[in-house]
Amino acid sequence: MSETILRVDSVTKSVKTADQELTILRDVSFDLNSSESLAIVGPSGAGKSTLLGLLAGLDEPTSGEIWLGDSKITDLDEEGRAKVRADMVGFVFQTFQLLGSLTALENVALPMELAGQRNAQDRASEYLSKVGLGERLTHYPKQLSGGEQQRVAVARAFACSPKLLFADEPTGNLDQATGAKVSDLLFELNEQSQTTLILVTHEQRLADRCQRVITIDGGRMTNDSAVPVADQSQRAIA
Amino acid sequence: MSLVDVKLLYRDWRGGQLNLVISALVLAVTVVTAVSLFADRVERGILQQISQFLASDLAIRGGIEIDDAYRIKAEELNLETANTASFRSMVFADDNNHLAAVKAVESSYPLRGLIEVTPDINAAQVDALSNGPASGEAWVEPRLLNLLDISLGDEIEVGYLTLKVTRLIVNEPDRGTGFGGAGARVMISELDLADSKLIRPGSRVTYRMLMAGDEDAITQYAEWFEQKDKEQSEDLTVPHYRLLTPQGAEQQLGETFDRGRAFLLLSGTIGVLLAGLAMALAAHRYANRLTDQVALMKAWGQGRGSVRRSQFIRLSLIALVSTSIGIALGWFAHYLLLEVAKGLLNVELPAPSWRPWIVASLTGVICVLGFALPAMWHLPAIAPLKVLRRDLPTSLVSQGSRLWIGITALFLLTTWYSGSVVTAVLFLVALFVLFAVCALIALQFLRLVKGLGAWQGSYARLGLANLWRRRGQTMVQLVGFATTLMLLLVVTGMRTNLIAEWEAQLPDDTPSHFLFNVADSEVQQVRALLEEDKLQTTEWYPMVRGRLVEINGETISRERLAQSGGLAREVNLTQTMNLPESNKILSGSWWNEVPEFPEFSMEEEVATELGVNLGDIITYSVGGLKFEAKLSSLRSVNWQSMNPNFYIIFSPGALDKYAPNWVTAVKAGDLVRNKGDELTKQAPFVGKMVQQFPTAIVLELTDVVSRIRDVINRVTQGLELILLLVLACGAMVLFASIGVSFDERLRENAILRTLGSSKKIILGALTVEYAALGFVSGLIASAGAETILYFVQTRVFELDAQLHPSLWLLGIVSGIALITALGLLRSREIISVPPLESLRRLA
Repeated sequence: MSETILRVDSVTKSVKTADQELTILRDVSFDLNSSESLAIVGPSGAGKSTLLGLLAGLDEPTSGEIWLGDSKITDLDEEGRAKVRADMVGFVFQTFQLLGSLTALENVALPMELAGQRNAQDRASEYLSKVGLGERLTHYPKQLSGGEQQRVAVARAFACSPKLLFADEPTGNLDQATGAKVSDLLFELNEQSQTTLILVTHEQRLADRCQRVITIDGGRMTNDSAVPVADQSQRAIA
Repeated sequence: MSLVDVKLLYRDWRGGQLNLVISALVLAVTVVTAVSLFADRVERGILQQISQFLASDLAIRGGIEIDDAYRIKAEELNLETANTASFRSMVFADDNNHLAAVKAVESSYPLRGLIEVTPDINAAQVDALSNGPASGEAWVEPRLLNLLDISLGDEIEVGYLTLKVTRLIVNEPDRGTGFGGAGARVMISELDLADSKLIRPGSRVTYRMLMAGDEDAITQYAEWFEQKDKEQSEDLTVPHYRLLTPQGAEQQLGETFDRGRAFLLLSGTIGVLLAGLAMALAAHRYANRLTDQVALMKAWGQGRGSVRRSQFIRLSLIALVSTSIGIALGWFAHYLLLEVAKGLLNVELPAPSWRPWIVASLTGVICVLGFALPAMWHLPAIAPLKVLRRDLPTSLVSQGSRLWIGITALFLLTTWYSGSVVTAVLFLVALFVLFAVCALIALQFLRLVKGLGAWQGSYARLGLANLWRRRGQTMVQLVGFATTLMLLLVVTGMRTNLIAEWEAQLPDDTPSHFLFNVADSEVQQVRALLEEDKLQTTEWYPMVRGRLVEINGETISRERLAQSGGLAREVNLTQTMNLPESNKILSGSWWNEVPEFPEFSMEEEVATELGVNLGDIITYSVGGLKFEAKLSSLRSVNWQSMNPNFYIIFSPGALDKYAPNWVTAVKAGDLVRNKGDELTKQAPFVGKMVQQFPTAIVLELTDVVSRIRDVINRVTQGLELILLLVLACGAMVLFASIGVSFDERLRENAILRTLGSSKKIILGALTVEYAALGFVSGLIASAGAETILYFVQTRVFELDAQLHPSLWLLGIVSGIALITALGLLRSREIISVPPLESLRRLA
């Protein structure tokens, strides 16, 4: 039986603006088992990305608890959370976040090199081949199309073998056809590597491919469905 | 060190993100290395000579023969002694003559060190001898052979003597401080000195008594000398000598060098400042580019510490590599400086000491710490959340703090270079005031130029509007460039214009030759000779050397005398009935007949320095004989007139009993016409003069002028070289500040082109923008340079002020050309990258 890899308990996030306190997320709770895939959906400004940041340990909640594996990251400081991220977490971003001065190969190898892995370049090359860019290893991001850039980013994320992969609108900057190819790749690799996938999207088709969908609206979790209900989801992304 | 950090740095460099940071640092270190290596090697070369400088353990120097008492004391202490006498005199062979530096030496000379001589002109074989020439022989510097067109073994005439040239001098232990340009050395035996009849009362001779012996005796002698000197300090009737020790000479020169080195390094500091500014701007841009990288690294689990470590390693590597390259380039550049200074320096240059290397390396480190690090300090604190929310604010080190850190770094460097906090503060304040004035003027110009854009063509409007819109950046570029260009123009102006202007302002009948050392008995004959050639002279002045002893019966202390640079030592005294042409009476009255009680007239400035007033009775001492005279007038003297000029002139008769020698200036041809010619044809009378009156000295003023020109040329060329490097730093500032607005420009131009503007319009607008910037920089630089030159002309050279249109043209044209070329070079991507790619790149 699969174990719980992510536990979120009554997480609230507020920020102080000049004259008032703004609550972005209110009392969000759920658990996620390892190897599961989860889509967080909701309208723009609902707090999806904020939730993703909190789950990945990039930010601290105002209250509530978050467990990543055995680590209660809400009790850790930034250095402690960094260690947990280094051990467990990978990312794919809407804006790809490739470094312009690095080739495709170097971009993929970088996180492994930073983690001190010996075979970083070989592994990077292997994963670039998996995403169909085996011939483009020495190309720089500006020489690649948007879809190709996101494939490099996907290769980079999986090459580190993270236990949890956070994807923030991974197809948001791509056209439909390209987006579909990238999401195929994402789920394919996720399947192969048995990674837990958490993605933020407002694209229904992408959300539909996840085993579970959480809807956030106005900072609250309004729906948690193992099998997404079409009309609820439609409402959520309207 | 982690290999990943090195890899990351390499990739940043490969991507061109480090070019400007590295180039700026390399340039700063190059400037400082070149200057300090040059100063260090010259200094050490000269100081090394000084250790043998005295050719003895101790020496006494004076303007009159060393009193016997000093020799007797030396003998008592069993010290070896050797006397020398040095002076300038004409030497000649057939029709050729040369104003040589003659040194008559006793047979025991040198007491320490050896004279290096060679029997053949190629110096294939060098002998080191411990004695000077024998009677009847002359040893000469090889260049004299060319000057007189003679060979080894030929005869030359020195005064009334005929001597055979038997050896060529390669080096002598006490040749002096190595600044060449004076006459060629002719060394003769002291035994021949009297027969040459070259030395007469009033002749300017430097006498030295060299001593050598055991350390105790030397110390005792030095103590005895100091004591005696102290006892006699109030008594100005007895001759005063100076005690020369190797340490004393070294110390004195050391101070001079400290000042010289500080001056050069301070001019280099402007380069460091500009390079620092460029570095700060470039580092800011580099840090912006690193923001995403750091946010990613942190999202992937890198802690703050490891980011800080990575930053430290990267900056250290940048400092190490750039400083090494800068030092290597500086090493080459210092050879260029040495090449320029070659004719001025006459020393063997030893390897440099450790100091320039330390100066250069620390300059690199301090530049990185002061200029690059503050712009990047915030990086480790970047929140990992920035990977998701790019709009998250970054807490940069405030601009104010960065400015202060930069100024502190500059202050540290300047203090270190100059060795004085006061100098550093004054220098930096002056520099910042200069910047501020430039900036204010520039701002006014920009306002004006902005208005112009309204009625110009479309790209002119666009370009000029850009200048005003980004006026902060525009000012940085302008000030950096204008000040450097200004200094360069000043130096160039001094080199190319000042001497020519001075010559042009000389009246047509300016004398061309000076005659010195003409004996009383020879005056009539020399006059006849000159009349034969129909040559005019200024008045003939009798000249004796004497010193001031008392004012109104009160002994003048040496300290008081020292307040007046002109009168501190023995001075030339003359007497005449008529007020010399280029003199003006400022107060009191000139004698029109011989007064009963001797009177004298004093140059106004020295009178003020000395604190004497009209009516004061002053006692003079000439050769130990005292007499009194009354100060009856104060004069101004036009020192530029090229006439014989005197601080002190007596009424006729006052100096009659002191055997004078005579001086006059001869008008033989046009001094102005000959300007610039290295080889002016010698006036015919000179040959006759030196043959008939061998002890007289003929000084060709063209020689003097061309020597001054040579010195100014070399010094300014050296400075120009340094300033060119500084200008390169100015170019860095331009590059870096365009870099700051680069993305913005890229976006704007992409949008303009998307909206249908042609490449031509964008290129045109950029050209107008840079050309206008260059024009304003050039204009400010020219105006500033003209102002500085005005002060140099009127205050330093005491010339009439003159405009320099060619300098304005040079300033403005080079400003426009340089800035337009460099600006377009830096902006070529803005023009050439297709708009879609620009927008995508900036997305």
